[in-house]
Amino acid sequence: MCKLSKFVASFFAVLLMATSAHAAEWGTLTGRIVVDGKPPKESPIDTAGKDPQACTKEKLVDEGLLVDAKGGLANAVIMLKTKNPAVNPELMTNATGNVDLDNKNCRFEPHVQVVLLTQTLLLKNSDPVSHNSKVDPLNTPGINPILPVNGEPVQFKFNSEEGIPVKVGCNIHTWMGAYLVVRKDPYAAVTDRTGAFTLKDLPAGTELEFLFWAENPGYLKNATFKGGKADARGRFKYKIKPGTNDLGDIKVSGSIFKK
Amino acid sequence: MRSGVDRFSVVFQLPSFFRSMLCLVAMNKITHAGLRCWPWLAGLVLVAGCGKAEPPAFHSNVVEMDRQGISPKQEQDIANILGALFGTPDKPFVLTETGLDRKKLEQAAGPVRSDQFGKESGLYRRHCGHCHGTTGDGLGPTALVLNPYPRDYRQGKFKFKSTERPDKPTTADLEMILRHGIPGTAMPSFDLLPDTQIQVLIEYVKYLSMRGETELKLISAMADLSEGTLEISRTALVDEILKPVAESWSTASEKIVAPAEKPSIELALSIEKGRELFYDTKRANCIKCHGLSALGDGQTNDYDDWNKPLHEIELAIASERESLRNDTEMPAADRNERESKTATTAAILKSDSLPVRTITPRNLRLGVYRGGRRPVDLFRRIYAGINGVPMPGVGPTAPGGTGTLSPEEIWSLVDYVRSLPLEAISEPPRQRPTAAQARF
Repeated sequence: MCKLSKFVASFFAVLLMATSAHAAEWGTLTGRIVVDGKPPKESPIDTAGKDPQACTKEKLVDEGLLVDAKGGLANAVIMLKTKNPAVNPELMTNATGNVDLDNKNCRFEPHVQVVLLTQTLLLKNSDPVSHNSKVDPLNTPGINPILPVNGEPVQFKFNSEEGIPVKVGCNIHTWMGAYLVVRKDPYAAVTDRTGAFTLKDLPAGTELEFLFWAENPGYLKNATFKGGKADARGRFKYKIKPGTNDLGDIKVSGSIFKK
Repeated sequence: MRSGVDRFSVVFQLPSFFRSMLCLVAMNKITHAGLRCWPWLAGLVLVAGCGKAEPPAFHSNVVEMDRQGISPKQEQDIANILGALFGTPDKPFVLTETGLDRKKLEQAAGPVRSDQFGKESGLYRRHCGHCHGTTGDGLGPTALVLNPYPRDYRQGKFKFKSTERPDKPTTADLEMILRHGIPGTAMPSFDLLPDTQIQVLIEYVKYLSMRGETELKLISAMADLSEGTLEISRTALVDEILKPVAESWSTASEKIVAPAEKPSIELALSIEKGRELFYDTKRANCIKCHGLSALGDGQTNDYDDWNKPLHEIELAIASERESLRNDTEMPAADRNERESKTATTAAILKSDSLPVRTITPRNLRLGVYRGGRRPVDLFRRIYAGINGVPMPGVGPTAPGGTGTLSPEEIWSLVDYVRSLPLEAISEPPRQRPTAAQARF
């Protein structure tokens, strides 16, 4: 009897391990978004006459189109468009904290970031002048608070996902803008200064749909990569294999960017 | 109600263009009484039916559809869904989920008419449509010459109301606007209308706004799809899209900003405190937009939520045209496609929007307050900010929270703002009286 129960227990243990091993088949998607052709120059922002005590501390440039010497496009977004994907629970362990959006030297830090529905956005002001942060998403009632100097951070939570990143603007310093990628699942990433991104632990084995987006020009249409191409709305389908899936250089035509 | 003339026109089924031309010719001839052939022409008009025009239709939000890349097939699908949920300008229809009164909507909708008991109907077209447009898009025939432009209700954003910033106005808020008009704008007072008619018009404004906001949500949901069209089901369309819009209206009265009582502080002291806050670049920072002199000449190159997307489309068109001009190596097929797309967007913008305008911060020296001149009105503007425009709020972003300014400080700002038109500097420059004969 004892032997039998041991056998049954070990059988179920093996079965359980096999099941979790199957569910743990996750794959990571990496790549680097590059502008094909002559990279556009950095466009400086004219802050003349606007709060010099805060706005002249660093050289401000248009962060909507930041391209490095090797063509890497910073602040671009890759996001999963397939609805209700299986989510690796490990990715959600830190999904309830705060996400900071700071106003520093008359720019938002960071310029683009992912915010999960379970997280709280904290709007902060580290400058010696007041700012405002106008956030008007489509699916959550918006806010537009004044952020005073040394004030408490303003908290904001999204009720629902947004199809494209939501803009946060400061109307006192009209050049200031930031974007929030509002997600239920954690499958969105922002490119770093070199244009590289990593989307961790995507469910492997099924074909998924992704979207490339950047503040300028919006959808990264016809972006091409090894073995694939995005459509006119920057979307492409890809089957994730367990382990690392590298898209290599994802080339975007330089002529689609707004001047 | 169809006339006999209309029935004839249905029988003859003359193409509408030919019929209109015939009407024009006939009316022109009739005014020239010397013409002997007018009875003949009038006869033709009788059978063709001058009164028979296409019934007015709601106009799709084509600017937004083009911006979000909606295909013609998807546009038609959205129009069909909206037709099923809201009916037409002549025959409005609403589901009970909207909470709207169909009887009131029927009296507001349709052509201007009255029945044998003198009950007037078609009130929206009679009083509102020429500015706010049949669709409530603010594109009525007189809109172009007005400044500010008439409100486009389709975003569901209203500026002057008693509720928190993102919330809808209450029925009482809309009634106040209808009865008093909006000072400093072309919006007149309709206070002479019977109360029942005011209520009917309020219901119709809510209806047009719900319809427009539902359309915007349908466009975004459609644009988010990988392919195909939206699922036609009660859950997808009513529960997920229409209901949240309707609920934002039905819950508005729970979101009223109720200011703490005005503290009993000496007025001069309160004004002085308000002045300090007005100029405080670390806190309220009002001068950034309203200007150092409060003339509204601070930040003047920003846009409201109605004009900003249009401005961005204009910039995109200009940039695309520059690319097309400069990029000589672009493949011909690519060039043709991009030229055609840009031309379409430019044509849509020209036909379906008004010239883009920047938003003007209020000149606070005039003593003209669009959202009402009562202290409580000014308190609410400062506390919650103004929805749809850059004006931020200094109150808490959620009820029960802590705002940038305390209620006492907001009351001081109210006192200061109310004192501005009374300052000597706000008076027009005075001229020394001149003896009449000295002028010649």
